[in-house]
Amino acid sequence: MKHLISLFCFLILTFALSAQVLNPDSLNAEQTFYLKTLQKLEAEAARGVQNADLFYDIGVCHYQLGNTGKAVLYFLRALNLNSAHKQAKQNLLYIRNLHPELSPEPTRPFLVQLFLNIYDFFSLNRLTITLLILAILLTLSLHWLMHTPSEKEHGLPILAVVITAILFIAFGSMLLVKNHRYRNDSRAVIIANVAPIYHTPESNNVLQTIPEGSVIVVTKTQGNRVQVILPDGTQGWVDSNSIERVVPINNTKD
Amino acid sequence: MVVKKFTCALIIVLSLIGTLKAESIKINTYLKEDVITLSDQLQLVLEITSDKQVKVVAPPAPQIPGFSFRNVIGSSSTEYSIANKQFFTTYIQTFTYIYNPQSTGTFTIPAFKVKVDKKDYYTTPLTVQVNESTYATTPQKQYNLSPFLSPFGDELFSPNRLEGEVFLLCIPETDFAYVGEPVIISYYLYTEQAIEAFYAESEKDFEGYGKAVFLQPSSLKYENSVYNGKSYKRALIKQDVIFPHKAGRLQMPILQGQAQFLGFLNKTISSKPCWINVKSLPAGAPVGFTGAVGNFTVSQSVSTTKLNLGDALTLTINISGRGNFSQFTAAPFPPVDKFQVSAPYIQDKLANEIEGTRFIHYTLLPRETGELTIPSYTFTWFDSNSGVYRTFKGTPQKIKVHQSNILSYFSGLLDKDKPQALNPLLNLSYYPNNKNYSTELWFWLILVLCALSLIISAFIARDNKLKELEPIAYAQKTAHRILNKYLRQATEAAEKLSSDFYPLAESGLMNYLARKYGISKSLTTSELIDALRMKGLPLELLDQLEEFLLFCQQARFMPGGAEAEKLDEALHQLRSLVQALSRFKPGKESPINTSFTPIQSNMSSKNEEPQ
Repeated sequence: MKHLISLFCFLILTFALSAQVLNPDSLNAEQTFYLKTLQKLEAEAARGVQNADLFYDIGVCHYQLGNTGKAVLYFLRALNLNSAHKQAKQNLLYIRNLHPELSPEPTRPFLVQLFLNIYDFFSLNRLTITLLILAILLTLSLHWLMHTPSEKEHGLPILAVVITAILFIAFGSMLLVKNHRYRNDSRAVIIANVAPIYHTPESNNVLQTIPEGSVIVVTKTQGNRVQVILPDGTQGWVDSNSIERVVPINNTKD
Repeated sequence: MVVKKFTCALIIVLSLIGTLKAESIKINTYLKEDVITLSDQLQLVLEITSDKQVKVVAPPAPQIPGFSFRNVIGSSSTEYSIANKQFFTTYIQTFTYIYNPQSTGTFTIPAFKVKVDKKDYYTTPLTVQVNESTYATTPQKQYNLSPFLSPFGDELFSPNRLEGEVFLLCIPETDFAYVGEPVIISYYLYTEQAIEAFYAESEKDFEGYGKAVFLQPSSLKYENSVYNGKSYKRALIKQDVIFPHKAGRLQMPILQGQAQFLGFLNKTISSKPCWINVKSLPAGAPVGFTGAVGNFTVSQSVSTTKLNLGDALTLTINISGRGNFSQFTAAPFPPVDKFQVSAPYIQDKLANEIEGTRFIHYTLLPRETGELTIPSYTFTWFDSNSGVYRTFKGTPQKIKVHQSNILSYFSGLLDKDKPQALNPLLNLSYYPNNKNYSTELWFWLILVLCALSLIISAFIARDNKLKELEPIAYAQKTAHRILNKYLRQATEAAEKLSSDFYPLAESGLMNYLARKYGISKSLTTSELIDALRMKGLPLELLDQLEEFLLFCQQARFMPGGAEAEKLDEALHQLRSLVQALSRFKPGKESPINTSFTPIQSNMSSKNEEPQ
């Protein structure tokens, strides 16, 4: 009996020690600070606040607490709201550079990279304002063209109309695409430490594993599994609780 | 009995947990270079990592087609690390197999078995490519199967010599060091015998230091040396770097290995014990001392001194020299209100474990405009040469922060971002809800207004164009408008059986004709008819017009003028007249003879009735 009691004491001591490791009070001051900040920010997000800076701050807190997956997720959410959020973009790149197991940023030709940077620079609201300015300019150009007397040269107003019309159509298309992505972003992030990828929704044959923080594209949902496309183009199924979508399905936007 | 069973089960579970915890052996094989030439050596490295010390015998060298096995070199190292206030020890045993290539081509190194702690592990197959040598075709002598050749072509000793002393010596570069100061220890094989190869099996470690491999020669290179007044051939086996973390007399690791004679005879040799004296660091370490010990040169630089609000700058601290780079971290950044400061990003460019440069990058984001000062960054280390603490204090840096302008929004479009540190928290006091402008009412209202203005403008432009290009058509168009307006009013009056019909019909016709033919509105009926005759209107139409106008003037005052039948008839006449007038184009031959519908002849008779 004494033996049994001492064994129990030993077990309790073991659990107490391991609990001490997990107790937030035993974390260092910096971690405690980030933990408290995260709790505050998550309460704000739970109220339904959609703000790129808020998501960015949540991402920073998660990263400082070692949750790479959640950090990537919130930086992507910040960029989905505001693609011109420089800090979020840089932090995402920083994480990718630090974690080579995540798919690195592909090297693109200069002009493609420039176009993508311009596309990112024009966030949804910047695009809207630019489109409005272009609409006004196009209207003024058309007024100018329509009211130019017939005996005068029409070249300049026609040029103004053509340029503003092309820009208006280009920016209008960009706004449509961006708005669609903003509402229907099908990307998701692996938040589990390692997520196994299965052949089919039912099978338990693991195709490969994918690390935390990897960004995948969700194509279909079936039961508790979702069909995904991995960064290398591989298709497979993953447990839905291993991932979190950049735009939650039940998220209703304005 | 039940209690006993329970106890046994618990013990089994605990021992299982212990066993599982011990299962942390990792086997890794790799090639130093996977593309070599015929004049190079192939180095296949087998690395066994574990969290407890395990004795591993070098596995037999795998047979690689196209290669001849030359030597195997064993070494071990221990890594210490602290995470979450826990102290971790990692034991690494490395075996480097050296082969000489025999022919060119691509070869596969097969998987081979490694036995560790009575368990079998298998390596992964590797591929190596051998190309032609780019140098002179004469084979180099040091790749001869015998390693006992001097660089000058003379053999150092006979390869058949089997007698004489063989021993290992551990030679520290200094026998006095401070805690944390890196000390290089060298293991030399002293021999009078023809030792072909040496395989370092294990190292026995003692308390009070951490260590890492500093240099591991791939072959035995002999030189002449004198020890205790006696001449020997000696070859460097290995160099370790020792980081003492405890003061006192510390015994250095004892290296044990097997020396190989004549290709098949082995002799186990251990290095002779050696010690170094380690002294504690002097008391009174300055605030901010993070454990750096060595000889360093420190400098600081900033990426820019002028920037716009919203842009970031990087402050970099360069620490160059020799010291315990693996044992210290960045000093905390001094408190600063006007900047957001990132966590430090540390980048090492080290030639080896203890020499090189460390860059500590901080990203600073100004919070306000104006001339701001970055406070001086201090880095403290213990100078092991002079035995005193030294502090680098950077000069406070003045930074000009301008208000961002429109151009600054476009900065960075061409840059490929390569952030060197995580951007810090923004920590705003209020996070407003994001508004999507494209769904706001004002956005669509402005677009609709633009479209409406275009429609209105198009009508105006069309009228203007008509006025400019076809003035007659424009005059007719405007005249029709006026006529329609008055005809409508007259029609309404007729429907209400009002006697206002007659003046409205008369004034409408007068205004229309005045506008269409540019004549005065205040003419009498006869003057109007004369003026219209001058304009070339058909006589028949003019008669009808005169008759209608006179009828209107008379009907205003005649009794029964507002009777339904009479009004209806007058309205019908007015319509016919308007149709006839609108069909007539001034300046052209009148189609009136063919299309004009004459006003009923009974008008005059009925008009005359009241008289």
